[in-house]
Amino acid sequence: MAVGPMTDPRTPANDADPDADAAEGVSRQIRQPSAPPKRTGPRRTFDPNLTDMVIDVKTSGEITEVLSRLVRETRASSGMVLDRAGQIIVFDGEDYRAEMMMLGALVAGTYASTREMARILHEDNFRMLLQEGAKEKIFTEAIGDQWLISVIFDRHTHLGLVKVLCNRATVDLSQILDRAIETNRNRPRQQDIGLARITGDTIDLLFRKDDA
Amino acid sequence: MALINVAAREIHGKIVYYGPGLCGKTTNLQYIHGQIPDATKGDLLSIATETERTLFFDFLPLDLGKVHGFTIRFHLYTVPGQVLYERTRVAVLNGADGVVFVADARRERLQDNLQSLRELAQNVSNQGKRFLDYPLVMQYNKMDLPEALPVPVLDRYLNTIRVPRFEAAAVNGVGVFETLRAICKLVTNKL
Repeated sequence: MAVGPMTDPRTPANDADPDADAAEGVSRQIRQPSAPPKRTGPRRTFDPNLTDMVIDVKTSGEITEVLSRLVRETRASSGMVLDRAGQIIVFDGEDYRAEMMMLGALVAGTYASTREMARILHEDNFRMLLQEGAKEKIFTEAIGDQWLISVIFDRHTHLGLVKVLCNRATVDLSQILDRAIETNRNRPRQQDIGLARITGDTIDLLFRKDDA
Repeated sequence: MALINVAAREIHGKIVYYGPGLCGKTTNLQYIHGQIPDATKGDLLSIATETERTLFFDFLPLDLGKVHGFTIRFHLYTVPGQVLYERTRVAVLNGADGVVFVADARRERLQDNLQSLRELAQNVSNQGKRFLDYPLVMQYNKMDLPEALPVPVLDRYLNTIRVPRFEAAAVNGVGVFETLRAICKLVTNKL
């Protein structure tokens, strides 16, 4: 079996499934999407033009400062700021384990899931999440539309304190991240072209054996 | 969005495997997980039903090594394919940098593929992104089965927007890494 990209789409065959003819209209809709559909859910202010985002050292330092203060003042075991795709930007706490990456993915997935629940209930959003176990608790709050903050704490920390201080931290973080987004919009694109090219070459190298 | 963390020297990208139920999305991730070295991957996390159907998502973190001192890290996700979980798919698709649409090449699944592809286009549009500009790779899976439709037929109905597409038999690993490489490159080209 031939494997690989075929960039020259061939003439459609004549042995198409009869059902497929009806379905062709569907594919036409995909090819020529109409205007964005009217939505009944909450308005989304996520900026689609942010195809990539750079967190520079200064921004990372500012986020770390706010997060560290939150973790210290709440006596939480750890905290993290992550994007809505589940990628951790800054982590602060006792130790950073590989599982934290999975935790980030699960927190973001769970949050996105609750947002869909909110939509079904015609709510604007559920901005907070609480997971409570016998020993540990996780409190998550949205920062704007694109970021999340999660705090992991135990029974020695009062939930009310976490809520209040987390809410205060989200105000500070929101300002920092808004500034980062603005900086990101204005950053020169030239340097990234080189990075993308080298990254592409690395990917080619990594997967080269599979071409054989 | 791809995230470049200068302080941590990391570049993150999120890739979602999308497609109708039982098309082979999880099989793709399982094969990748089984083939790549331990140092390159994390654990494969699957949130599945008792019958091993994906309930929420599968997740596989993948480190592609360092470029200019930056660790390139891709997070691979699958969505649950069953029609029932439409809103879950929307949730998992959030923030994705690229999508692999896994189509089941069998004749009787053509309508399901089309429905899923149309839903994907709608969900991408709902996120405010142009579907035609979206990093997308198509994989025609199960091409090793006798019921598989010929590639020109699949092209005609599924790949009208002419994105890179690959024939695959994910259960044997055929086409899995070619697909992954193509989507990784599409995503990094957007950096």
